[in-house]
Amino acid sequence: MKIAFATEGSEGLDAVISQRFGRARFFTIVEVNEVGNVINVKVIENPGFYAERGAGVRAVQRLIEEGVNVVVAGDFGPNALAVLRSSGIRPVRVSGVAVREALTKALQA
Amino acid sequence: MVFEVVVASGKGGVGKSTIASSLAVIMGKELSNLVVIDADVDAPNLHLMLNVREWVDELVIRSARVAKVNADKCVGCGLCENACTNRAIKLVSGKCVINKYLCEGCGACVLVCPKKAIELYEVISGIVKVGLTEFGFPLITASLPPGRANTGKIVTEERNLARERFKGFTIVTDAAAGIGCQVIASLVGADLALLVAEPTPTSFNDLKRIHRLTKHFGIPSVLAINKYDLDQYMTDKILKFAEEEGIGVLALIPYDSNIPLSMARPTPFIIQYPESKATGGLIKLCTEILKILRNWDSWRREHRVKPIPYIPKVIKP
Repeated sequence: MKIAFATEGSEGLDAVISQRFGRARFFTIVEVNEVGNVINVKVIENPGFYAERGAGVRAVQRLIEEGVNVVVAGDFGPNALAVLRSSGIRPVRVSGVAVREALTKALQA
Repeated sequence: MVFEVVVASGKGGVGKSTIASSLAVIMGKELSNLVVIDADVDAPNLHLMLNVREWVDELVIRSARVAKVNADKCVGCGLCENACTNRAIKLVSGKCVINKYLCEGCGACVLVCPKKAIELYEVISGIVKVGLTEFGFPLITASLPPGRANTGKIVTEERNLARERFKGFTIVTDAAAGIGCQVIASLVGADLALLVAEPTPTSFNDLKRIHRLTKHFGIPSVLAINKYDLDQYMTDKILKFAEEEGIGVLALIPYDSNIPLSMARPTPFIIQYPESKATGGLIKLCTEILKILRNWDSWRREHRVKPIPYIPKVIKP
């Protein structure tokens, strides 16, 4: 299962989760196996960071391309949320902690 | 402690900037660490109302991209014109020309061009500026190059700059009218929404819309009804709505003909007219906001907003 965390930094598991989804700088994508162990960590740029408008939608598009199942951020704008709902990616609200700590909460969701 | 109050309304012209500028002046006297953000970048006016004395910093935002055709390589096939969803490309004298004001930088034309004659290049979306007002606190605003519009990107940069450059400061943000991209960008992560309404059906309608947005983000809202005595019936309707939704009404400000007069000078209303009809209501509003700020932790706990639950609907292809 792939979980994407909206982060402002690219430190991977130690990066702090961003308050915003659509305009976060990076997505830290953590792949876990059935037992919950981390198999892979990848950091990609969020195209929504550069977008003038429609940032949330572009961000979701990128995550769909990456085959993400769950996305974690502090807040999701209404447009982004609508697209997330139809895409089947599960949004989870957490912010202010590092990816490592939020991973457990995301796995429970 | 970082605390951000965003002044929003949905409807334009109800008094956001008038209230925000007077609020800023009063709060600026009580707090040593205030920063004000003008998030209405299409038509900013706080730099005038708060009389910016000098500009101390600027940040050029170059995130937007626009496509341009290399005329030497273009063979005038017109595939790009077909691909463009904004109708920004036209065939002129056998060459494709892109209107940079219509182009959104999606890159579709770059992909379809068989001669690879089109490239995306960065344009300046806007310049975020930091100025020092005559009241001693800084103002963050932005100016736009002709043809570009205010965007969520610019507002986000303004708010990020406020947090980075003025760590720990209290922030008052004057949002734009409406509930679009730039207003959404103003609200994300804000602590308190000060909603402003006037007693008209249009303002009431827009109030409901902006409140739906603050509920979406789980941001507690408080309300000020401006020009309330112009229509008691509408004011009562709005008050009833506020009660049903749990929105605290902080002040009812009467219509004051000195307010439009005060706009002739670059000074906030309460400075020019310290004893006019609306002054009392404005001061009460500011006092209430400061009370909330000083008791933030307990006030926030009492007024927790239950965000609209995220129930993902999965559509399997």
